[in-house]
Amino acid sequence: MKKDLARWPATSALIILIGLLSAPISSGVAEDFEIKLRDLMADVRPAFVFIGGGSGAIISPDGYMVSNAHVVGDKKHFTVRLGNGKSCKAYVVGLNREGDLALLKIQGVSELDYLPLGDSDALRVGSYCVAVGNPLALGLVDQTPTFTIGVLSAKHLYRGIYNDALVTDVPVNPGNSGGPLVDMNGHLVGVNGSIETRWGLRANTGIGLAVPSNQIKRWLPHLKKAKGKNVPRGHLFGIEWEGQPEDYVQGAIIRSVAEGSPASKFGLTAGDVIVKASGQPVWNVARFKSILAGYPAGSDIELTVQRDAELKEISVKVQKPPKAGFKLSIGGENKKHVVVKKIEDDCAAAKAGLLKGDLIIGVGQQKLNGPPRRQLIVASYLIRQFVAGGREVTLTVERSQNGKAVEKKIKFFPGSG
Amino acid sequence: MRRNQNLKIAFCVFLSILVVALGPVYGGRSNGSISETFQKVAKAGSAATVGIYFSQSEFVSYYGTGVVISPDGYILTSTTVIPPEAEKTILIYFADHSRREATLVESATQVEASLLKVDADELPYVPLAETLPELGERAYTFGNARHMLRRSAQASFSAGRITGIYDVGSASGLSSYEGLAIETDAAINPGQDGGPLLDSEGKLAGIVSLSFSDARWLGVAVPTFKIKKALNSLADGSVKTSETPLVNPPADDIAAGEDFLGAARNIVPALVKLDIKRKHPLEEMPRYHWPRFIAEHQDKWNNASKAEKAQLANVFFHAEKILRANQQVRRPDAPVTGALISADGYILTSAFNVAVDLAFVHKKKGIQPISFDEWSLSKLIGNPRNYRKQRNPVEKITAILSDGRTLPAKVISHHKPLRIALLKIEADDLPHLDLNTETDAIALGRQAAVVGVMEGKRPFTLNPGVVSASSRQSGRFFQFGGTVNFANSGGPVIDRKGRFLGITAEPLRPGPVMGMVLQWRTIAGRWYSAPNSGISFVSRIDHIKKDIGKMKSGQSIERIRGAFIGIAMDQKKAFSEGAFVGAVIHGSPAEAAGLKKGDQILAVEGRKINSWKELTDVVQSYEVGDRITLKVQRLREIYQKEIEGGTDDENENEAEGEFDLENAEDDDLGVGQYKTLSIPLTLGERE
Repeated sequence: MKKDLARWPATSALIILIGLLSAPISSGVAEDFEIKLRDLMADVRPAFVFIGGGSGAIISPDGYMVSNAHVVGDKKHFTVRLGNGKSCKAYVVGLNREGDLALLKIQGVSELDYLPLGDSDALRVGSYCVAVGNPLALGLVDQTPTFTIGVLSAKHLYRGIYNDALVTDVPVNPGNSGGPLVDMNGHLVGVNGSIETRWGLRANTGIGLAVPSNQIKRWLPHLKKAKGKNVPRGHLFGIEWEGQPEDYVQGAIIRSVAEGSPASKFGLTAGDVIVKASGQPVWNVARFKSILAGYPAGSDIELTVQRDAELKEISVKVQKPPKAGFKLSIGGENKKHVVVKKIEDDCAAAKAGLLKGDLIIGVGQQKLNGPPRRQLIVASYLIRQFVAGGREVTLTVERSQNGKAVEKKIKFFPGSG
Repeated sequence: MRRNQNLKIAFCVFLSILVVALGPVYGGRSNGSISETFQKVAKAGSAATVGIYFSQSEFVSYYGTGVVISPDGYILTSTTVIPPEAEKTILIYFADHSRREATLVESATQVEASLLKVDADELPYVPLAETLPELGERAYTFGNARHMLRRSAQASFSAGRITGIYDVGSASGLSSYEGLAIETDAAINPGQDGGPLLDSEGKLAGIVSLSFSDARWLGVAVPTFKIKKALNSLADGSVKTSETPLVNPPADDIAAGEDFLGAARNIVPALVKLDIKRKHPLEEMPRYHWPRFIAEHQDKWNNASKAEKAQLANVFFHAEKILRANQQVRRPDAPVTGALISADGYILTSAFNVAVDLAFVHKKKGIQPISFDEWSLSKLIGNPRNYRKQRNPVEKITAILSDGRTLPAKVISHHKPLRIALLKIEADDLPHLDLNTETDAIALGRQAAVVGVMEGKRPFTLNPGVVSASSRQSGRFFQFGGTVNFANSGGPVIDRKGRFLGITAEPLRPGPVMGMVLQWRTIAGRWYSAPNSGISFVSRIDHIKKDIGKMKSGQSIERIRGAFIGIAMDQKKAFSEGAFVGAVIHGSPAEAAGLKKGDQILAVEGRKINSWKELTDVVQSYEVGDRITLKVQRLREIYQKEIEGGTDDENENEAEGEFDLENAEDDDLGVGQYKTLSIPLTLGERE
């Protein structure tokens, strides 16, 4: 008993010592970081995909993968190589060209290693990030992707088609496009896309833009149903905006709302100032439009609107860019006029009374005259302008009724077809 | 008693498990702390960084960055953002999206500093550093590319390290600063001039300048201590600045940084500055700052009409573009890095450093400096047709040792596959690097740093990064994420323990990659090299060591010797399962054996081949002269014709930076169209 008691501390001390030695406390912090990095890289690698001249990442065990729309281009089918060297067929499921995002499906696979989507909004500026990619097609033959490391530089940056982008100083170069940006937990937080360069070198200088995972999450359900087509971004039609300088910060001011337009149906009126959209501050019209661009058509967005001194919550459904619903061509007597060649039955113009064969003699305030070819170009251009802006279209048409030529005005809001 | 002892043992085991389990938690916590430091600096630094907009006249407006240095609204920026003669309204954009007007307090042109003041109290600000930072210390920058602060009310944070402290000359035409500068590999981009460079404690180490060294092509900052001396209101203490650090960086992170610096210092005696003179001397590029350009041509400018002014501006910027393009195809006239590897004076450097160059020589006048004195673009650069390309070989190499000795050096041999050159100087008892590094020091994710030389008194530069891929080009190289440029290419890469891992190749440039000619056409002309891209190749120490004996005997190595079949990969099937023959090399064993384009190699000596990589690996495992049998799948003759006739068109995907290697859809022909052959072949040797 006595002997045992004497031995007890010695044994325990020895075991504790062994425990201490085997704990990574003894190794330096820098080594710990290297080990963590290496493990992370090993984990991420099988979910990386070589595709075309760019990169991609698997985001589900059944083979959904994300990349950039500019990597996919116009192709529908790809042969891709996974990070573990396996060659697979993949097809395009859906695209968001306006946000440079592509969803593909790898065929005939299951239980793939994948990157779970992280919360890009929760990631803090200054956090470490790792980019995986195939810059300059370096990794094609030895089938080894490139890993680069840096930090998150900024969030919610609006630039060009990268609305709500993540910014990193991770070296990202041509060929990294479409590749994953992962956090230190191995979650995909962004898809690397465009870079800023200096001195015209086309090499990274520490500004890389990535499509954030939270935006990807919003688009995924829509992309999955897209059947290989582009999913349009959302618009809010019927608003004429107040002109603002670039550095205006008091909100997006509505000058007027067209009657019967989508915006008026949601309850927006002239003089309203939009100060928040889905939780993000809206400083000006440009900013508001770019926030909308981050949402697929059909999404509901909560707006905070300042009306007089009050703040109001208004929910809007953003819409696809509308279609005119009819086609024009040169026709009529001696082929000297613009006529409605085809018209869809359920389009807004048809509901307003436009018929196939009507001669178009005016669009809005503009009378059509001159050579028929010019008339056609002017008419199509003007209609496109009205339609793209979601504004009311007024057509002056001529049709024969009971043998007499009758002039009619037809007004309609282009529906989102 | 027995039970009792069991309990005790169980308790001990529990304790030890607890310790083992807690270990990683501690590790994790201290690990996270540098990330937490980053986050703190990002937050505090961004809040103190401001965007500046200033419109001087119809033609000249400036935007840039600045940093708040006192709570009552003093802001430091550069004279390239706010020139000393600024009179009009200066707009300051803060990260909280507020906007204030500032007045210019004073400027000091020799350090390119302007001090502004806005009316405020309790602004977030950064403390000033008293001294120069250390090489290898953490460094932070805050970018304002395309006026982010004005548009998105935020600056982009970047974390890097202090990578060099040296004198910048008149290299940059955009800036007039000459003198000591602090270089960092944290992001610095246009629009960021006047912005802060913070040191590891978050103190203002310097103000970002538009100046740079054309040997380095990395952003630099003018040191704060120089600015403090030059600006009266800072020198006499009338501006209440702080010296309290923003953050206390974790001790272990500082230690890790110091490890690198210590390791670098240890090898610096073995570094050599190589001064390389070529047949045609490199011309000094005149580089101009637009306001300076206007100032120097004040008379002409004042008398010019609006249209003429616009034309002149166009001429200026167009010419500047041309000059910048020329800079990319020409090396800077600056020393490059080499490393001593033996006591008797053998030096390793990148083959690029001593390679034959091209010079653009005027057919009549020879090489002449370009001048901005002429007002028309055609006179400025002349007709490009009047220039011809000429070989510009190395004529003289001078090695400057760390002890100051200057010795002539000569090239002994080249190693083409490793992209290195061996040089020799005549001296004894030289400090040198050890080639006996174990290869396990080179592993994915490991931290390493390239050490380089710079002109001037400050002895070296240190650019750290992680190993991005441990094996490239059949294992001869590893890929490194640190920044490599003209000055440090040829420099040694070391790890934190000072172990020598390899020699950096030249800044990467597009070209045939591993024997595959990718579709570079669209970019090859524009993009000669990409310094500091974060992609650099380093020839591995184990390969250097293997061949150094031969190289010392004067034998240049053109190809790695090894077994050779003589087929090239089918690019279009780069992603497909299997190894496809894209071309058969003339006079090779493959041609003799009757292999054809379009064949798929199914197996070598019964070993199944799934990819090109597997094929090369298997072939390399045989000796030259071995007889092997390939199992080959080939389209039957009737279908073969279709392949040869039609599908050889190149896929013209000219999208920026994308190389379309995607094969056309695999043919949907039935199985019967293929035949399988056994082809015996005697392996040749690569020439």
